[in-house]
Amino acid sequence: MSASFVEFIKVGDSFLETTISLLFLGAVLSYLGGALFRERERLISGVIAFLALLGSLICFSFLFSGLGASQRILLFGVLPWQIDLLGWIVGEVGLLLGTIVALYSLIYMEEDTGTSKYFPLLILMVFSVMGLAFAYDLFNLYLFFELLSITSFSLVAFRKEKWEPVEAGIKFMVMSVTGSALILLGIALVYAQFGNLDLNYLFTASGGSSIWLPITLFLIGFGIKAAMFPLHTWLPDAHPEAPSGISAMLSGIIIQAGLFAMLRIMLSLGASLNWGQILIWFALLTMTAGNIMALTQRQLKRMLAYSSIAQMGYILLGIGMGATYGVASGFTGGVFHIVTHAFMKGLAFLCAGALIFRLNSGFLEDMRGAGWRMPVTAFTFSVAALSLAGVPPFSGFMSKLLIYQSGIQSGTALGWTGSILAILNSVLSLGYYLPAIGTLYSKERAKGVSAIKEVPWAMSAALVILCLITIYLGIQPDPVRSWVAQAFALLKGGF
Amino acid sequence: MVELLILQFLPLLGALIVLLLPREKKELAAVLALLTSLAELVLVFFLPEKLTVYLGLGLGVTMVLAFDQLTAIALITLSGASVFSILYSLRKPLGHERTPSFYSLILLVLFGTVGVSLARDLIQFYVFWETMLIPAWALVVNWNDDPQKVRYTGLKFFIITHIGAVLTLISILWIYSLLGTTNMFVLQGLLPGLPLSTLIAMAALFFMAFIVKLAIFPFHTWLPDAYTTSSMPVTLVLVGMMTAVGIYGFARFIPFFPREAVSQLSLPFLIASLVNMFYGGAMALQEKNVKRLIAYSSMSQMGYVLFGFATLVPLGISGSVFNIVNQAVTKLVLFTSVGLVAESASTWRIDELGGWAKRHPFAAVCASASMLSLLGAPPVLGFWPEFLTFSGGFSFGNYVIASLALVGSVLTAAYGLRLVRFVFFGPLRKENEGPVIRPSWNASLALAAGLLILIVFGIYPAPAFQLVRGALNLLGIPIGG
Amino acid sequence: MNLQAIPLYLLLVPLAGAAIVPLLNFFASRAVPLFSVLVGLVTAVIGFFLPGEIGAKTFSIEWLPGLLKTGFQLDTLSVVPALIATWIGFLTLIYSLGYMKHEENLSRYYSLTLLFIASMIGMSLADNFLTLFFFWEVMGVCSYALIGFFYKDPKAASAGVKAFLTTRIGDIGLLAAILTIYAFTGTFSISQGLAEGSKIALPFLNFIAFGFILGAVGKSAQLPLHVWLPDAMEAPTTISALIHAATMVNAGVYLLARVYPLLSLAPSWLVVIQWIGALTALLGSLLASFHNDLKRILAYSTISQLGYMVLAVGVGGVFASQFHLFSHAIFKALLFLCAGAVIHELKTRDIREMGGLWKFMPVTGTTFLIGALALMGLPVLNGFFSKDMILEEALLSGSWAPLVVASLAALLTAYYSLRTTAVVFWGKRRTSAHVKEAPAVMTGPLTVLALGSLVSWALVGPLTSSWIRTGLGAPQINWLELLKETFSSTAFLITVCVIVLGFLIFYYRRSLSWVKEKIPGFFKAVAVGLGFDIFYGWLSQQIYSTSGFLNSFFEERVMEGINKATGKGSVALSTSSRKMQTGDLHWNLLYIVIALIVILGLILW
Repeated sequence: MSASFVEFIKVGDSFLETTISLLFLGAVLSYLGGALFRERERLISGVIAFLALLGSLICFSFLFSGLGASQRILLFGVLPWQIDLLGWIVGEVGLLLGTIVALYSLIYMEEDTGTSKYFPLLILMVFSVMGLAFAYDLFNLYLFFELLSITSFSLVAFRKEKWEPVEAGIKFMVMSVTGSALILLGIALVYAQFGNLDLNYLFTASGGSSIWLPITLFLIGFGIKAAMFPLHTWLPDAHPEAPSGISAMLSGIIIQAGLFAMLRIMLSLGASLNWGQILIWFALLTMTAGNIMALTQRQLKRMLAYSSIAQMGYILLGIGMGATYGVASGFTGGVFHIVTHAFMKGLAFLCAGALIFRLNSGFLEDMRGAGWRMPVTAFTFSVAALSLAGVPPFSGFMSKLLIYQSGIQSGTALGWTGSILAILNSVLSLGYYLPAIGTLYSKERAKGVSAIKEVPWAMSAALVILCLITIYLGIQPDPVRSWVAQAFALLKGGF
Repeated sequence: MVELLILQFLPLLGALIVLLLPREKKELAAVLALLTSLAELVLVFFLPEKLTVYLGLGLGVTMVLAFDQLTAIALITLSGASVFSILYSLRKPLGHERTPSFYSLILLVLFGTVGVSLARDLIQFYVFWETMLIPAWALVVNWNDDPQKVRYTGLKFFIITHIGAVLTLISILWIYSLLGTTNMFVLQGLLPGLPLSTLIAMAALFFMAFIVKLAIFPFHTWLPDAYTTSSMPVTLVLVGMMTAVGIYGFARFIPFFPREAVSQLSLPFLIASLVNMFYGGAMALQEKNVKRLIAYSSMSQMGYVLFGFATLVPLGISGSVFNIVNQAVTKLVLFTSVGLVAESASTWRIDELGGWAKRHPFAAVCASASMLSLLGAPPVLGFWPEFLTFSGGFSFGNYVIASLALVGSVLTAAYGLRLVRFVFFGPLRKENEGPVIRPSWNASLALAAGLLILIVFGIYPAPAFQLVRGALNLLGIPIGG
Repeated sequence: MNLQAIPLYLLLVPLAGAAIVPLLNFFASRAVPLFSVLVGLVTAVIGFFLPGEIGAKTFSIEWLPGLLKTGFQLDTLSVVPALIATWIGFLTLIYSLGYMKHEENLSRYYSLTLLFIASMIGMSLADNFLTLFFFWEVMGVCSYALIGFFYKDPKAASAGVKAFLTTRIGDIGLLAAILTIYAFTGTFSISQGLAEGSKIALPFLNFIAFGFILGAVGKSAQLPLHVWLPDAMEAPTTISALIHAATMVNAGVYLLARVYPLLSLAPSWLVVIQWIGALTALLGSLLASFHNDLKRILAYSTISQLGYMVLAVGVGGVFASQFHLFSHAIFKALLFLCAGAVIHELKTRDIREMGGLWKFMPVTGTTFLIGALALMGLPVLNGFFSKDMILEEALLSGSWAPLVVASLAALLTAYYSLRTTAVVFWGKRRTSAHVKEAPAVMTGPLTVLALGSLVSWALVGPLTSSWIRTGLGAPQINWLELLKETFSSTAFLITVCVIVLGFLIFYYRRSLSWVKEKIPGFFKAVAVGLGFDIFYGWLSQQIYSTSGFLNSFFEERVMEGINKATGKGSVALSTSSRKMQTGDLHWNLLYIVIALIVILGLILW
């Protein structure tokens, strides 16, 4: 191989190694810092974690400069990863969201104790997302998937003094463990059949051989994480009970990471099966169920949780279209929607958190007229909601546009039905987003509202950043959109 | 080049500046907004006849802004309407609800509508179409006279309009998936290549957004409530700008689709327009609430607009394009003049009004003039579009439909006359007796301007018609020699 | 001045006046009446030059670029109505100085009157149908606004609405006809349109003819659309004289005469026109004979006289119709203005409260009598010659039945003219009100018009001299020949007989009271104008209630119901589907199993 190429690998993994080491360092330090200075626990561990995440974010961004076709590297000589554009995008999104959440949590977590565990867990969560993005053999994939689950349900149950979070955490754990078991079984079957877990190898080898059982198991296992209807039942309990920052992470990137892992595997293994079509069916079910159930929610965060289910439906639909009819806009739309959704849904949850932070109530009727007291929060929330509903000129529209388009481009009955149902769903979703916005700006105000004021700058800064991203991606989807497209163009099999 | 960008982004800039003003700087906000839309209006007259700008990447497409006479007509109407509405809202002392955000929202509506009329790329068109919807919805929801009803009204307004829009979006995506571009200039050449049935379906889907915007039966239910619950300036925004941009959409896209495809839609549209005329007319004939009455009258008027387009005859289309201006001016003046009375009488109920010509002579004159314009009687502006529309109907050749439309105009006359008769004529109620009321300077100014336009162009329509004709000639619809 | 421009000046002067009056009202409201009269005078003076313009080539203006160039068409047919508007308009304006002195919002009154005069001129001189229609409508608007001049009075306001709506029905007919012609010939020009009329297929010709007739019927208050004219009497009497007697109501007749070449291509419609005319004449005179409201009597008589003109067009006597239009304008304006003088003094319109006014208002009385005699068509007054000419034409065209009806109407005309004069001016006083002769500004115009009614028939020479240009052939005769012909005509006998009979009926009216006992229903029917109003009232009521039903049921229940149902439905669906969210782990695991089975099925299938 040529000299410059060797150079690239060095550069590439040096950046990546710095990123990872920063993350670990951050995790350890923030825990120690918090543990040592109890009275300053939150600030110290929070700031350290934030800086670590920020640093790694910057490092990770440099990685982009040299990304070509997917490259295998052995991180620290032990961790076999395969970096490509697609993984980079997901990792980047995860990091960015994580950083912003950390900033937000600095203030948000002020009532909570034991924050010296909160922030390290957050960092680990981000790390596991990156792992899922880059791991190329089923074993590592499973490893990171488990790490992801552990971190996430320990964070869901973080406020252990209350019962609901703990219960939600337990449910979540039970279900995702069930999923993991199925996945493990699937992996075992694959290994038994091929004697190899390298997805690249499997892609070349698996042509035509009978792998229907593992595929099914993977679909279910990751489907649980991806809140695919009817496997979504853990989500509406888990997301609202978690601290808002964590809800943002969960809805924003975690469930998508599960989906992303599934996508990699399916692309590598499932070439011979019609898994795409199955995804389409389940996508339509999922988005419709999510929207309809969201219609009558009285708690803001619960409503957003259901809307996450619906949004997962869109992502599934896009990927399904791409897989079934081979229309590029399907894959692109699906993954681009992961990107945009991460920011807008994160924003929505952080706004909800901000409102709860001030009002100590998650119920919509207690938020009547809050918008007049908390202008930044209310405005950013409106942007997020409209963007989630796929109303231009916000980012949600641009990604949904691709998904709609993929169906119509396929030129098949199923494709058209899918697109039209998706479009009608986005109209239906207005049925709960608009009233939510209307509540914030309503003329007559709930009793608690008149006393409150806008959240501190650190929180509102987080909101504003996400809001700007959402608007920017709506007005100027490229180049990000084109990166996604490019990433898929580079793809053969899973990588 | 640059002037076009200024034209497009001036309202946005103004909106942002106004938005950032502190809450108590109401007057400043109002004046800034007024100046912005005035500047927009003036700028239109200084633009060359034809102008096209490729904006590079944006919204994921190559944005194209283009200026031609049709766009000019729309822009003049839109910015004029926003000037009118802001002027009307600008009374001393400004009510507490006249916050800077209110004016910035009006400017955002203007921004969206300007974008719609400049857009030459379908995606861009759609984005601006929705961009215009959001601030309009915010206005309807937050500045209203009827807090009980408004949640429902706002929801209905947004969702029904949005449904129309997404149907258009489907058509756009369909076009893109078949032809691989959304640039209208390119598509003009490509569309005729498609099979006829596809084109018909496409066109039908595409026009849905405009059909909903014009409140064509049965998609009209959002209109009366939205008009009625909103407070006056918001109603003026809806009346002046939303309607105009809806008509503009038809004018822009009827020539865009190949004629043989659109001609298939001609008959359904004609029937729909007839239904609208009579349905809206019947509603208006009985309505007790004056604001609602005018709303329904607007609905039936939109029937005539659609009729003109549906004939696909140059004269008919020119009539409807002429209506972009006429409808805006007529409705604005009518609403405002009646609104002044309703304000003095503090009721909108027609049976509690009457005889107000005594105390509101100027309003009475304006209302009568605009009413005549509404029912298409000379010597006011409305006569010409109506006449052109009907001549289109008769040149189209279906005498039954054309005659029915004519009969409908009698219905229009019926409710128009009824309105003026029961608001301004007859005896004045005892408790309303009093001296002549002089409307505030801003309202009088707005009304006087509107009245002048109505009468001057009513007597000598040549300049306006010249513009319309030029616009249609550019679109390949030649009128006369 | 450049003679070519005379018609233009004639149009623009009153138009400018109409525009200036409101402005003038701002700083010198007192000057408004005089200014308006001045404008009227200038117009009238310019009017004198108009006949010299007949046949002159006039320039034209681009009104709708590329679509319509409008100009003037100057022939006797078009010039006569214009001149009537100019001169009688001027007289009315003078008269208004006295009559309207004590009213308020005079600027509105004068501005609209001037605008009306302008539009009547524009209507009659227009060389294309569109311009004609434009001014035709403007006249309607002015009429509407002036009828409702006393807007505080609900009767007046409603009368205005009624007039506008009723004429509007006619107007859409006219517009339809015009646009159909345009659709076929591609031109709005009257002369071209008439010339190319023969190219149009008969069914469409019928449609066009119907449209024109509808328009004429509406504007000229013919059966069955005559109902608006009696109500229009709520207007100031000057307006009734100018608009609803002398000028606007003639527009319909003028239109029929103008498009006669087209009508003659659809002969079946000519018969219809004859009958409309004859029956209207009869109905009008009948109702006039039994009414007690002075102005309504005159209104009905106007209706019946217009019927004569329409009949004349129907039987092909276009010139006769125009000649009668000319005479009628003069004597009916005279009658109205006299009535105005009387009403102005007595503040009532009921003739039963009048009587014996002769010695108090000699000038008014005399002039009214002259008018009445002209109306009944007594020899050597202008009404005599024109009406005689009409009957003659009917006779020549051999359409007997309409002729008989018309003669019957003439008989009744003679009767009610006498009756009215007698009841109002003769006999004993029935009112104690202090009555004095009207001021000179009012009696002046009366005298002029009275003289007109005596001698205007002598203008037949100039009228016929250039008539040939209209292409509606009529013999060119001077007044002597007219005398000879008229007195030697058979129609003369009819005229004389009906007048004598009328006299007799009037003289023996007491002994005719048995009619009351025999057919009481007849009087009731007459009292309610033979029930036309009742019918139309019922009709509009039906329309209102239908729309009311639509509004309250269809819109509020059905359409709104659909919206609400959609909302409710989705909410119900939501609440029911949320039952799935038990939060119970067993169920969740069960769902997993279900999903597993389903996916397996899908994969293997």
